[in-house]
Amino acid sequence: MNVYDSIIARSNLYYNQGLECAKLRNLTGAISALRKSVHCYKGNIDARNLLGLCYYEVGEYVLALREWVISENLKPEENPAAGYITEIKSDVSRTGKYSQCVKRYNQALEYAKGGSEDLAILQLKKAVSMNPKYLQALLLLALLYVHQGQYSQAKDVLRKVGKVDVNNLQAQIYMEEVKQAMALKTSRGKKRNVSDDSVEYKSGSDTIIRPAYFKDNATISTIINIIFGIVMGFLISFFLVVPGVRRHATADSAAKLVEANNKISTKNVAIRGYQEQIDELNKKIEDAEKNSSKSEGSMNLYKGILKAYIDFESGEYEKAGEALAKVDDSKLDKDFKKSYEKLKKNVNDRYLRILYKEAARCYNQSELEKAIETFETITKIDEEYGDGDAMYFLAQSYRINGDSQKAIMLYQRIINKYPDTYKARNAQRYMDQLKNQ
Amino acid sequence: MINFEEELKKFKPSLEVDQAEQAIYSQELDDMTDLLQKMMQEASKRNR
Repeated sequence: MNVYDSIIARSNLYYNQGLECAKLRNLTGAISALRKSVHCYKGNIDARNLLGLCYYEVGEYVLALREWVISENLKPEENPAAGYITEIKSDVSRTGKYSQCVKRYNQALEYAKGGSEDLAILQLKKAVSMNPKYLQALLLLALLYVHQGQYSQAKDVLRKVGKVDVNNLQAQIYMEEVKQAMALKTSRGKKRNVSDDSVEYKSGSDTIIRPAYFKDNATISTIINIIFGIVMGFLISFFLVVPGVRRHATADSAAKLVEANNKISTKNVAIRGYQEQIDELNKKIEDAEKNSSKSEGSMNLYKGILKAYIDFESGEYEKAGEALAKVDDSKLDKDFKKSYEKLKKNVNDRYLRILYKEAARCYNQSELEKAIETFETITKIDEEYGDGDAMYFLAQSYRINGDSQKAIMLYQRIINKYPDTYKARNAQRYMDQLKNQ
Repeated sequence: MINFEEELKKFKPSLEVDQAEQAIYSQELDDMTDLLQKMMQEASKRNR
């Protein structure tokens, strides 16, 4: 056997030792042997893969990954390391959890070195709860418990270490320390006075320490407790219950107010609707009244015309003329207006002739007031009646009756309307006379 | 009686995930067979 073969054989020997240790869960021993094996011969793939598995088991995922990556590089085909790597990479949540775990352990180590042991214990407890097989975290936690004199907790942690890594030398040293310290404590505890004694018992992983017995000052403490209870009850009701009741009442009031507002809004809307209906109905009434008055006016109009017609037919031309004089012909329908004009012409012909005859009689008999009144009626109906004779004799009546202003006005109109007639010439002469007076 | 300070020194920070690549590259991979080869090369040089 040459030197090379003997090195390979040595590597295999260490691998076998490591394998044996790993089977017995002596992981520290296994790691030590397997590291020697790969140092002898780096191409010992089985030893390297097993070393990675051991690292993985004690929570050192990065070291495990390192060994498997090297292993895969040395033997790319038919290598179980590839499967391990793939499994780790695929489980992202586990990688994140591991990362948190390691950060907590490193933080705890810093705290421990800085003297903040309580903080370190907190961090380590969290790390261990995330990975109960994290060997370094367990050992550091055990060491801190031992240093703080919390031997029961240290013992529990060291038992967990024992489950992960049997025969861990560090754990054995700590366990020995714990046993010695607990034995010493027990021997001291027996010497203590009974009155000073305390009872220590475990609740899960925590150790509870309480006085051995309780002193009972029965009556006074009962009274004090009752008073305290009453006061506390009063305070609770004052600070918790009363505000709640008030808040509830306020909320109720607010809800009712909102409801009332809603009702008012609804009724306002209804009222507005009714008001609109009332306005609309009032408008209809007004329209109806207007139509009614219009109809009544029309009715009276046609009644007057009808009366005039009846009077005319019965020969009472004066009454017919008077009736027609009261008619407002602007309100007549176009279709009816033609018939009306015909009737008016017939009536007025007769009526004005009668009036003119009466006016002339009054003028001749010097009944000037009556004459003026009659001539005025004639000129109102037909200003040019008798080719201006009615107007001329009205002016004459005014002049004789002493109403010079009206007379001059009418003379001027005659001059303008009938120039070069005897009436114009007479009008001019009388007008001059009146102006010269 | 264990010495707390001495025991504490034994604990080293664990490698974090982002240090994995560095851990792989910095790993010394020379084994005994590499050493043997170097020794043989040096011996042959001396014989020349």
